[in-house]
Amino acid sequence: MWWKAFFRRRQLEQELENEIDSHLAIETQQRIARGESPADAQRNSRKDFGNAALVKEITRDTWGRRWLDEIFQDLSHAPRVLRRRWKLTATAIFSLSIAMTLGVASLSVGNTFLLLPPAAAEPDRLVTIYARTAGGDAGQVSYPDYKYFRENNHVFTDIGAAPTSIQAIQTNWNGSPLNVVGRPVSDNYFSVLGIRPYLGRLFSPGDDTAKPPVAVITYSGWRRLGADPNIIGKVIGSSTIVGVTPKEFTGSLYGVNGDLFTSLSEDNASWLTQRDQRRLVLIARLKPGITRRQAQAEMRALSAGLASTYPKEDKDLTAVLTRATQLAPEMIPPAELIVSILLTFVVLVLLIACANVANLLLAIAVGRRQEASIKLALGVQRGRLIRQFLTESAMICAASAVLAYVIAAGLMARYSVITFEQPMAGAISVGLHMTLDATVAGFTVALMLIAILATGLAPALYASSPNLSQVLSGEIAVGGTRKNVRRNALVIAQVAACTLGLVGMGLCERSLYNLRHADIGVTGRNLVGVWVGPHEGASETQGKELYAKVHEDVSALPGVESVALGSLPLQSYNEVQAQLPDGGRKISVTTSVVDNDYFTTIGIRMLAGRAFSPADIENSPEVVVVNRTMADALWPGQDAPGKSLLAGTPLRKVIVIGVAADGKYGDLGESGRAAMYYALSQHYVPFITLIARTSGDPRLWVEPIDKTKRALDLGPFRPITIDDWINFSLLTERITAWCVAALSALGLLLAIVGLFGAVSYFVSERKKEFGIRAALGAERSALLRMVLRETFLIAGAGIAIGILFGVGTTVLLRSQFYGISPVEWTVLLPVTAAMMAVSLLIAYFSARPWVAADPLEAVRHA
Amino acid sequence: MGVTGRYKNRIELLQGTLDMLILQTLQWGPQHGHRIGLAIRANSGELLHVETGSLYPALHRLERQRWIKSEWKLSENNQRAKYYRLTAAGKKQLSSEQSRWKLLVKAIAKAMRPA
Repeated sequence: MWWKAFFRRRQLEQELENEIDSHLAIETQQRIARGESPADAQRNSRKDFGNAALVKEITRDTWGRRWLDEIFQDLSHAPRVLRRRWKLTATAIFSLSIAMTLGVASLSVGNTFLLLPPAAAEPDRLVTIYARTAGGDAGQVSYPDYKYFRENNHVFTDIGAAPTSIQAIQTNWNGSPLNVVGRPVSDNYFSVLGIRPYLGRLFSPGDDTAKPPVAVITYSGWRRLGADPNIIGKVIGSSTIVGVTPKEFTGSLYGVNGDLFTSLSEDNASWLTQRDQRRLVLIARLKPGITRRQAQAEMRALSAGLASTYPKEDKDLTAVLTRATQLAPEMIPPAELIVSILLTFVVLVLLIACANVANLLLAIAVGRRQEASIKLALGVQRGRLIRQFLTESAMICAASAVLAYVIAAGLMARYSVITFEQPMAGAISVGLHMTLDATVAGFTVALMLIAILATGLAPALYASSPNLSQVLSGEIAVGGTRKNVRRNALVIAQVAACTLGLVGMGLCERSLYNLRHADIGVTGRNLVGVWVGPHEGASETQGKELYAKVHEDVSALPGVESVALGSLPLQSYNEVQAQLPDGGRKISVTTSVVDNDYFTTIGIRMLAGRAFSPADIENSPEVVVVNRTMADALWPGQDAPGKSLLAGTPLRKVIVIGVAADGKYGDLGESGRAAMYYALSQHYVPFITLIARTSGDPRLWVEPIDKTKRALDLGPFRPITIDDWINFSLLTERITAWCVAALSALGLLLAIVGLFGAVSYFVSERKKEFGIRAALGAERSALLRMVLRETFLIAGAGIAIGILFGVGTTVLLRSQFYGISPVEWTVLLPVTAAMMAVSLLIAYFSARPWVAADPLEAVRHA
Repeated sequence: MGVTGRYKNRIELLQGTLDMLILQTLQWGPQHGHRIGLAIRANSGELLHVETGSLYPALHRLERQRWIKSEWKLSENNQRAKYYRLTAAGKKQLSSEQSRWKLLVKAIAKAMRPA
């Protein structure tokens, strides 16, 4: 152990000292005994002994580990050097630690979402199972199929299930109204995950059908309700709370937990028996020794069995396994992409920070050429000198890494529980258990090592190779020497990285702007929408009456121009199969159920045929309106109205009566998606969106509509304006854009610091040259122009490189953006102009004091 | 690491012989560095003068090899000094060095005075 060696070494050192003292004492004593005077004896014995320091040095060599000695020397020397230049050191540590904090934080966030909740035991053995349709889409599994899989497989210890949907439960808590988000899960769900309760118990077999129903509250939900230690046995909604999940368990299938885990029995029962009602995603634990591949083979065989037994429902469905994460299976690739983009940005910022530190160290190195050359002249080896400089940058990097780790840990702790507002459902508390685990610690160390090499090597090489005579005589350094090339390369790299960051930010913002202004296919803007649904267990007749009543009541509100029932744009609908009656063309279409006033209220243009009318009643032939994309796909070049097709599960014959304009159904980025509308009068749904067009600012009608809806007991959801709805649908894009903007801003800040340092030193190094030029009659403005011209060239080179990389990135990532051309001038031009302006301003302000100095002083003291 | 006689009769000590001389000196009992230096000088008839810059590194090297061990004791004149003493391994080492040395002397003698 090196520290033992270290202490042993100090002991050895002390002993050697004593040994030499004792040698001298004995010699002196003998000399005195021989008759020398004490003074003479002492002097002569020392003379006789020889160079004590040299003896020690040589003796020490026999102990070995000389490098250890030198490292301790460097380590004790470095803080002194850094303390003397504390401003530079602080700037360097600031830059690096910001970059590293970003790295640590983004990796932890990525870790949190891409890996399973750490609370699960042996997460490697957990897999998610979903049903893949013939088209390759990830779909859900029906309850009967789930039961079949559970009873007939030989590869899993058990399979748990949870619907992908969440429930918004409106209830009372301690006398005040409360919205909580519930997630139904199967009673073996927690035992599959292997999670132990924080309080009480989790679900156990039989809870699925327990009467009254039971619920488990999440840690974050428990905290939100006041962290009551006696919560067990209290009733929330209609369920009795039996336990609290542990703090570390913050997410499971399909994202976050919400507040409450309810049992499956809470839902209405029809889907528990019907094979074509698919609502579940399964999570399963592999038996020890079974690989995912073996399990996949078994599941494929079981699916094939189901498909042949129940061709009507299960044909073309395959159960597919994926790694279990908190994300839905189809979300994993995009999430990985986002995380890798963010990490790339982080590395970019880190590089800028490294360039900064390298520049600052280079500046320190310039000031230390004299020290270095004297040391070299005294016979210090160059390698030793380089090691000394590297030790200093290592200290800076280590300090930054520690600081970054502490800051990141603080941030993680601070944001471990977030409550956020879903505009329709209300507050959801989200527990984010972000851990700084071994991966993150390892990553931090890797960052640090990269930083040490990136920042320390160039200055160390530079400072250790001075031209001795030049330095000692205070020789003039005229621009254009090799070291300036090296320094310029750093500045160019920094400017380029910063430009690239700004281009990325510009692309995100531009894409967001394009999305906000995308044509969603509806012309109505003053729209308010609210989800409505009759209470649990209401019959179809009761439901229809309630729909008619809410329609009538909202229409009666002053200022409401028109009311319809249907779906808002961007509200993902049901996906069904549609095909021509002759079995020919087959496509997948998104469907929605709407009433007669829908198209006029929301403002969707009818391109051909008609919309639904009161003539379309339950017993008349089933009719649909299709959008243009669908009409073009099935009947290219023909008139769609009057044509018939087969659609839905099971397939039913429907007649097209009209063609509507295309819109955005799932997200703003999509284009050309086939869509089909059913008539509400022929196709009852227990849940629909009421849409009202108002005569003015729709926000003013949110409250009145909410009141009207509440009076009819149509569920817990709040009305929302269409603008808020669109904005909410852009949540991911907004978060990404915000992150990229924050990162770019930091990058810019770091680059400004770096440029300022670089130009200052570049100019200060040449103050003697400037002095002479000024003494020879050069105008100060001419000197300033010279500096600005050089900056213009260097910054220009950096910007050009950054723009080139920016274009490359745009081409690579274009599919992630909306409405962005490969060379997006609206982004590239402003970025170029801004970077150039910033560089020149920095050059001007950092060069001015040096250029303005008294020429004689400058020449004398350079 | 040359050990040189300081006066007129200069003798370059052969590589490694200092270690042997130290071990040889220590076989008569524990001794401190100063006395070891004096003993070598006296036993060589004042021909070999071991410099401190060779003596102490040699002592530390031998200790590292575990051929000698050290402890602090009071000297005959009541002074604290670091005494070295031969270990079992050191005794073995000494005898092997002695036989090697005899061989070397014989070989060189033969070579220098051909029969």
